[in-house]
Amino acid sequence: MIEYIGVSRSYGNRLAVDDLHLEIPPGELFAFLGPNGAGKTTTIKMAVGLLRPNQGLVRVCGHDVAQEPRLAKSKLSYVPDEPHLYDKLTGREFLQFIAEMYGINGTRETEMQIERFELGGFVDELTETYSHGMKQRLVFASAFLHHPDVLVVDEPMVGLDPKSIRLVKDLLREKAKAGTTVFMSTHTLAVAEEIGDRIGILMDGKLQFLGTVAALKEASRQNHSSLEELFLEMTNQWE
Amino acid sequence: MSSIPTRSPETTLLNKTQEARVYRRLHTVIIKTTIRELLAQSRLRATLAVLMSLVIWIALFFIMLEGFSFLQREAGAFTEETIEKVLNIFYASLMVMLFFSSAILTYGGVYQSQEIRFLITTPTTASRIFQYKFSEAVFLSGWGFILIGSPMLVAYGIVVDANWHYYALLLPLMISFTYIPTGFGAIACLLVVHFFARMRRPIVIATGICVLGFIVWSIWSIFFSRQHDLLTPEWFEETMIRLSAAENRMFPSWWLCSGLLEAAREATGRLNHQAWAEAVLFFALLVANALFLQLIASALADKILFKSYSRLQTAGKRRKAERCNPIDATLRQILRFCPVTMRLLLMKDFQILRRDPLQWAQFLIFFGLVGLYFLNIKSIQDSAPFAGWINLVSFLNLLVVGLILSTFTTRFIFPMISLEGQKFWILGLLPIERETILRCKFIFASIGTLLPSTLLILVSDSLLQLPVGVIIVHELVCLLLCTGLAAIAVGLGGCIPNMRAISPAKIASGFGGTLNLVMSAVYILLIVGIAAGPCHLNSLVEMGHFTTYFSPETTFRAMLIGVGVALLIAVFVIYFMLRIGFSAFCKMEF
Repeated sequence: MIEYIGVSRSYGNRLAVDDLHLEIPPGELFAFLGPNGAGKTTTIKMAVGLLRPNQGLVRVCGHDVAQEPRLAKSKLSYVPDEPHLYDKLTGREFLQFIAEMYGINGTRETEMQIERFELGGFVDELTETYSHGMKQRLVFASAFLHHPDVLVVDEPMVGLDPKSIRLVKDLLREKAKAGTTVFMSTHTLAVAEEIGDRIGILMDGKLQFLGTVAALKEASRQNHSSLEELFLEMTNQWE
Repeated sequence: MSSIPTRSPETTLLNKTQEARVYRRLHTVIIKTTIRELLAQSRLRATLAVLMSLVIWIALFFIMLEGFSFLQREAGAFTEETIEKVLNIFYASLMVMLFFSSAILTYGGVYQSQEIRFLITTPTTASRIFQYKFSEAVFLSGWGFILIGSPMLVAYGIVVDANWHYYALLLPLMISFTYIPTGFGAIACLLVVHFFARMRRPIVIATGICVLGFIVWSIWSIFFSRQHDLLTPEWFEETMIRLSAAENRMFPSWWLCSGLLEAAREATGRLNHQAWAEAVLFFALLVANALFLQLIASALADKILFKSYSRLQTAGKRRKAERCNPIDATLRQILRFCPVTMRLLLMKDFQILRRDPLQWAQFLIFFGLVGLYFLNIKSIQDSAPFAGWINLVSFLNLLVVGLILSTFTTRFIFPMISLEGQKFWILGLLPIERETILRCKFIFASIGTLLPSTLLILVSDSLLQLPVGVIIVHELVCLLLCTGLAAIAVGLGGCIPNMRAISPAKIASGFGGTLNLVMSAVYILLIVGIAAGPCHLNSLVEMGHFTTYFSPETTFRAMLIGVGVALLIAVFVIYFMLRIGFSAFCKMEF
């Protein structure tokens, strides 16, 4: 579970996240929507320990990320929009490094993930030779290696081909079904609508909408507009 | 893709030892792979790097050997005292350099790297992440220190006939010393980022100005405000007194020097065991301080690293609209007669360079230091030891300018084409010939290097009061150097670009950059040598030397021929390098 309790964060004088209250329970796939610069990535970075809130606190599985960073991070996995891979490691070596870092049986788990993500064809090559899709599959494999309770994914579909997009969608859904909290940020309304249990729309650091997909659809029906029009209206982008 | 099992593996938090083991393994694998790749794919680069390091080491060793032998011969009873002072000054300077290089490297590694964004999200302790990146900073700043410092100490050991104890202690003393200034540098970096995340740029600029001011003041006080003639024993003594601050007993450089001197002293037969014990004591002092600093730095990292990283990332960047700059406007006016495409490309390259102070500041520092030396050239003229000295110095100055130009073209011009490759969809789709792109880079590099270098040579020659004819020859050679070096950099850049690297420094340090540097050095030696030899001989004959062998007419003719040959070589190099560059660049697929 992820909890944001009265969280604010600013960049210099600019407020990026403003008094955010949000709770994402286990087994839920939460889709986080918003235009560029709305504060989505800042919100995510506070959950994974990259940034600290100016006010409020963020908890992952009950652990305050700022006060108990190791315990909180041991429960989560993060797939960033531009993941870092060690160029001079092979895919297998990277997976083993991650496994060891989480103190788990590296070899057995690594082999399972290699098989699951169909990395066998290239896992022993240096990651610097991988295409974007191959890198993304490896990053997902490493993220699932220790079976996290919380999975945070930032823009997971960017740059992927249709088959890979389908794979990622299925994976995320499956993980949520298995009890994992999935926190996904996306630009694409259709993706959120398709796989999200709940949707949060962020604008200027404030939550403009928080509810189920059905509630969003209902709102759009009452508003006599499409989901897209409603989203643009909520984020002040509709002219 | 198979379905996800519900059973989770047992996840445990690693203790410090386990963490250290995981990171050590990561380091080992990365180093092994890098070396294996280097040997398999870049054998020439690796060989050149090793060879160049060896050449530098051997050259330094012989210079130091000669220097210490000279001191032993000439300083008599003051030998030990003088050597002690020299060593202290040398290592105190290196200590300051290690401090700054470590602070910069720690900042880059701990706060700016892509890797750190990944590591922070893993359940690793902040101290482990810090130690992992700090060890890289120590290695990167330490290897240069060992390369420069060790030949001096080996030479000293040979001169004083030190026994094996001295050599056995040499590396441990140097390595333990390295950890102290680097540790201070890393701690300073953590504290500055933590407390002054928003103010870090002004602090770095202010520190840079202070350091530069101190260097200028030191040079000024040694060369300008002296009371005795340059290079006389009195001047030497005066200078040593001014630099005695380097012998402060609180400085780790003093501990290092004292340890080394004590270790070497044993061989002379005096204070045998006591000297050895003193040397070991200084070694223990260095190790203890190095370890203590490690502890402080790690504890500090645990306390503030994550917090300071967050502060730095959210410090906010100053947003500023780029308005019409007077320099741009002037350049645009100057270029208004050029074809539109050429003008646009030149303006683009200029604006990119102008807005990146990190790039041009290095060039400015290089030329600033050379300018400072040139301004002091008058003292060399006052104490010329032999006939033709002034003329020789003027050509050496030309050589220095040429070598600085070659580092500039290797570091900035050669990577320009590779960097365009990343954005080639912009230029590649424009309705212009590809040759125009390279031609513009050549013009940009030639003019950009020509202005400062001809000005510097003019200042140097005027202060040396050289005849107008020689000044003209020098300016012509300068022109040949600038255009030739620009052509080599642009031609090679077009032939062997590195489209994958995004850092100009990485491109410059690759195979292409190394080849560019070597070719540039050969070109400089060829041009300066061919033009300088006959010109120097002509000056000597005009002064009345060698008149029995050569007449002034003959040497004047030889000088003209030398300049002519240099001109022909330059024209050939420029044509050939640009031709192969254009040809390869036009055929290139992006």
